[in-house]
Amino acid sequence: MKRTKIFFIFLIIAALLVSCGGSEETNTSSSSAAGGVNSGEKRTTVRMAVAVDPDGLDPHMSASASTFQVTSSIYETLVSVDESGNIIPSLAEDWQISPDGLTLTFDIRDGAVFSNGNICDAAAAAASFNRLISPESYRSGDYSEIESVRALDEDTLEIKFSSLNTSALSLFAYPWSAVVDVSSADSLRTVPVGSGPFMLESWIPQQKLTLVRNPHYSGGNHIERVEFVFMPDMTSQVTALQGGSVDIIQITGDLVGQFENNDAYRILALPVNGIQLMAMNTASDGLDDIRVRQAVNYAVDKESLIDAVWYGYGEEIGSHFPVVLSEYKDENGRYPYDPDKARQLLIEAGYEDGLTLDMYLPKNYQEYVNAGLVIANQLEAAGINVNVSIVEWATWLSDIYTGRNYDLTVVGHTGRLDAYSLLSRYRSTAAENYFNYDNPEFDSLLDEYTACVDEEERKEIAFRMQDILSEDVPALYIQDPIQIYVTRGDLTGFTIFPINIFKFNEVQFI
Amino acid sequence: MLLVSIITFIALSVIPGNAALIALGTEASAASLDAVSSDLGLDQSFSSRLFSYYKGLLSLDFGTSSYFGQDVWTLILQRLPLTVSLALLSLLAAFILSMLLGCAAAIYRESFIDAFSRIIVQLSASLPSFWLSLLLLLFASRVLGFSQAGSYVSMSESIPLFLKSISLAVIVLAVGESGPLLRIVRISMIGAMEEDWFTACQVKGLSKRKAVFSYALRSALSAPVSLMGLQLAKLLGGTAIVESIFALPGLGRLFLTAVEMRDLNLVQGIVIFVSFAVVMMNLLTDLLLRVVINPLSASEDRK
Repeated sequence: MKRTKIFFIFLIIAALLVSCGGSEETNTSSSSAAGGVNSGEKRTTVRMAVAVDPDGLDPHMSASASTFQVTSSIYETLVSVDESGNIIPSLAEDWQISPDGLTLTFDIRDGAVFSNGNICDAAAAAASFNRLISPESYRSGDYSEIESVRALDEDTLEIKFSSLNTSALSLFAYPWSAVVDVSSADSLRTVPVGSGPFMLESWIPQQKLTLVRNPHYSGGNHIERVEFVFMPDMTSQVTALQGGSVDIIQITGDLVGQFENNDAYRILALPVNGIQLMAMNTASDGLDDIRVRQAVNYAVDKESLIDAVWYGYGEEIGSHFPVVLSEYKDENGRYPYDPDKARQLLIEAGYEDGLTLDMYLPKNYQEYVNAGLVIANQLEAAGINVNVSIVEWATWLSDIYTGRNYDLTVVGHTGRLDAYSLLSRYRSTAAENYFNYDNPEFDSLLDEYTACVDEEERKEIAFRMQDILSEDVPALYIQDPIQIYVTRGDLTGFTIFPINIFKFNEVQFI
Repeated sequence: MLLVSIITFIALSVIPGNAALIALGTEASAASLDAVSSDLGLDQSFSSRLFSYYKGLLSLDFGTSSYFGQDVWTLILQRLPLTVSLALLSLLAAFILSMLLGCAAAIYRESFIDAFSRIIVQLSASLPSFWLSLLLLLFASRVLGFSQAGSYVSMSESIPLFLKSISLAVIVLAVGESGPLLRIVRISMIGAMEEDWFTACQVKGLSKRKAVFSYALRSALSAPVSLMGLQLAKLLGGTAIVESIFALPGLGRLFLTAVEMRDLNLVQGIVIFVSFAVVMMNLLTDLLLRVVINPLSASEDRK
């Protein structure tokens, strides 16, 4: 008798534990009931598998690509870009640049409304930009040249710059410059309010984030709901696509074969706006000699490296510039694969007995670790000994990227829309210059570039800067990565852009 | 528990990297780093952060996660139903399997079934859970034609679908836990059957079946039950790999992300929660052993 009683008490405790957890779940995920797939009817929900959660949904308070993948559907920027990086209208229908290049005037679209019903006029946009340039914002540094932001009337926004930056317009296309409703500023991280095509319905961390159509958005919109399903493992993503529980996944080159020649799937393989490189610390012993850095470049066979690590999905580069941008110059072939030449240069530099370098690889980027190991192997064949250490990302950021305590490291950089923001990290005084690169000629070219109004001339300067980097090789420039997305065969309109955004309002099922 | 949480606090402050650097990645600049640090409260001194954390804790305020921007307690509660069901179901499966196999192996020693149980023990110890997960995942999607990954349905939406969406993960975890359990059941059953009183029971005329099931089994239960207490505590916090592969939003995966992102409040919250669960679990097993399984020895103590 007594025994059964106690057994029941345990049962009740267990039931209580489970049920109180369960009710909490209901509160937070109230209406996330599975976006049903009605076979037969036209599908209106698109589901994309992504590896990690966004780092909050406030575009001014995040620097994470995973955030902008989501927020680019919730908020609008003044201008946007097309697939090749040309500026196109978005929240601003039109814009004018003053003759001195210092003042930009934007005409805000009539009738733009935030998802909570507040009017999104020039005054609202001005308030949002004042928040973006305030010191608390993560991106204030990128906008430090803005002198003032004013709403001239309901539809006209005027932005004044303190110094000439001829690529200023592109600053207003990046997803972090999105216009937010500042009256909800404090809660944007979890309750975003924007004027974009979609609005947040629910976000259950590490499970699912659901966007629904913003009823106040006047632009075209083919689908009703976007679901981001968080799946850290790629095998799971592949089986989820094959099993029909998601519509879009991103994969690595080795998995492409499973989807090729199959009408049920569509493969999208495009170079992105980004580069991957092996940085060399130009202030460390040995690597301060340009001959050693050239030797490193001669010693590595990029083609076999890209084949081995990225299954051939990558565009070789010779300088710090993504192939997708219009100012790109092909610098390949300056230091072709030639191990004999590498050995000879090492001897000239005084390292006939060999040279030992420390390589640090960021642990959670498996591709960079793999690339580093392949490179280390090739360098050893040319007579350079490499001590490889694999470090955590946080350690990498503090010791290598910020502390600059390394010889070699493999990493990737996301691209920008213009040469200046892309290359300014090579300025001798830049905080991001973890190469310790110091070339006065390069510094003055950077200054010339920002002050140059003539587009052709500016392009020439961008070319010249690429030339210098590809000669001086503060890094082994490896490739512009190719991103591969696989979607269901009946889904169209999904594509990638030179900045980290998606346009789900252009996606539809056929 | 306080000690555990202070150690966590210190460890997370000592290891390189902080949440601000991670949030900014390779886009970090000195100005933005300052902005993020003050946003996250990282610019304050170690002692003042520690103090304000424990002050909040006294009023059961676990703080806000710096990565997810949500309340830590809410995040933990969101994951509890899944994690608890994963742990209980897989342990239940492991328990049934090892009781059946373990008793059979003990009764028919050196037989085919005994050899089979030893094979299971070996396999369970040597199959890495991530490998088994991937294998099952591929098997389910290619052969059985259903994909489990990404189709997680929470308990409140539909219980059958919820069970279906966690079934593979339960199998993987059950395989991992059944090995040690099976071994212990077998050994304690053999031990019990070699005791003098067991022979005495049979001499007295009890059938072997009765002797095994009403006496030997009960006396052999205490070791497996204490082991299960430990296993349950382990499953509550340590299933990150399986949860990641099956894309299940559980406590282990949350913990993994929290450490990777140096999300101090969240790590602390989970550590305190799990250590509390471990303490409770030990208490429960002790109670269970004393009251339900071995009331005899308990009443003897009282005399």
